Amino acid sequence: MNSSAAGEVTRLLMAWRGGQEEALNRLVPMLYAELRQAAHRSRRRQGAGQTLQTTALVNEAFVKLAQAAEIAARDRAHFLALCAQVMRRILVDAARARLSTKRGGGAWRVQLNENVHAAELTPGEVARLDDALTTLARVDPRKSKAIEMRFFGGLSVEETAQVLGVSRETALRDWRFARAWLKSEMNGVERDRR
Amino acid sequence: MSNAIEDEARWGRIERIFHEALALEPRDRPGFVQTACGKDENLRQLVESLLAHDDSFIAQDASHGTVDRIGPYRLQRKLGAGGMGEVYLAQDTRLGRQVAVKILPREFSADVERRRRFLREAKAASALNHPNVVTVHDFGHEGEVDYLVMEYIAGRPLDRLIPHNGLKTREALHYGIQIADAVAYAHRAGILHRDLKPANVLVTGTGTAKVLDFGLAKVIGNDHTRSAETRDGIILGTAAYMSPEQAEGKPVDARSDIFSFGSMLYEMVTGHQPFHRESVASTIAAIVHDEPRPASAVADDVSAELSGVIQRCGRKDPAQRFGMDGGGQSGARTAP
Repeated sequence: MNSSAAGEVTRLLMAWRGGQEEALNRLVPMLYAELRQAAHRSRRRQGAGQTLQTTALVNEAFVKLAQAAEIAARDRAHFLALCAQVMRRILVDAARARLSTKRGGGAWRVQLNENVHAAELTPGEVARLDDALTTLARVDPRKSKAIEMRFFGGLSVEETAQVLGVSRETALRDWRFARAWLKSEMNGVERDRR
Repeated sequence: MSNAIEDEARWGRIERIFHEALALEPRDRPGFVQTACGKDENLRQLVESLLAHDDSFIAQDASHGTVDRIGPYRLQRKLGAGGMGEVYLAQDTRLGRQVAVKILPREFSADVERRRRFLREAKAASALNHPNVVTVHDFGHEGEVDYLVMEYIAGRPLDRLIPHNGLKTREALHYGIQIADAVAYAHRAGILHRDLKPANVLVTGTGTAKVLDFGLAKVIGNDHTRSAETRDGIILGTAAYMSPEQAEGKPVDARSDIFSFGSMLYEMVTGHQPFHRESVASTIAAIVHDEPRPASAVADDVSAELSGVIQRCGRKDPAQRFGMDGGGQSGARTAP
């Protein structure tokens, strides 16, 4: 990201912080570009059988953007949540693109970090996770959001709770239930396909 | 499955039963779910499927002390936290027994060299089998996190049992002898403790002393990434029991543990650390240069004999100290 773009991100973040919601709409495409570049750099570093680590990618982009923008601590979680949303789109698009080619994805993997545990997903699993999250969002958008933030943005339970405006206990309960549902759902889809 | 959640009321009901079931012992869950779902077979299947997938990922975040499971160990409650990580009471889901699981600090796990040393020490420590040594059962990692599994001791750390004016001689010796036995046993097995201090000894309700972290504490404890304030606190806590050769960064052998043992015994009977100073630097300087007041001069009920034993353990020159397999142990035994 060149310096004028960083300046623009700073300006938009300030505006967003100042309560201008429309700044977000301008910010997302810039995040998209930055996160895509981070993914690209990671791919180049790691070569053919690469694993894209969502948290590392988001952090890398975050550090670049945050340094320029001097994001306040309380905005950090919200900003990461935004990154998570964008990162999900990038990775899901990439996974679906892989699936539509004859190679069916090859050795490409996405590593979802939830701090302690890291799960590596194949392109097919990434696509199924995306479907399941979309389904979940229809009946329980908060839980869908929570999973998105933790899986694709590496947010902690506390940060997730902060963004969603719920207690830590509620965030934990949400998380545990939604996670069980997702796993069950993804396994079910897998079974149906066989 | 997806169809089931189109209905919000049903979704809410599934969630409620799920959480209520999780609050029960695993063996009580099927019966509860059966009752809660009544004749709704589809609902029961959904809840059971969710419960079956509950442990598929680790639930929460170790750094915040809310993990509910690591490897085959189900974490039940936090027993304590410190520079060496957090310790949980846990159940070994395979053997059904209770264990203590220590989750090591992430900074530690990221350090390849320290981790390698730790692994070596853990292996050595796991060979120790003694009634006064906390047994090391297992070591593993999950994701980015390393953990150590130990025998669970329902007890209190010795440092919290020592009153301001010291323990009664009889009680101090009761613990002291057990600690000396444990240390002597480990030394015969070729293992040094390197960080003997009251906080590393657990005392059970029946007065059995159990020494923790043979060879391990020093490997993990040296934590560079904490804030200066905390780091100073940790070093200060540990520095007070260091031997002069440790304080000077020289190679250490079994006699270094003897020195630390002497400092512990001194504190047990007097209530004061022999080299307590205001800062790490002056504590270390005192360990290297100062002679503490004899224990018998600090506390009235300490005999000259016991005071002499403590002094023999605390000689600056390692060659002048008691040997644990000889003098130190029997010295403590015959001293009162």
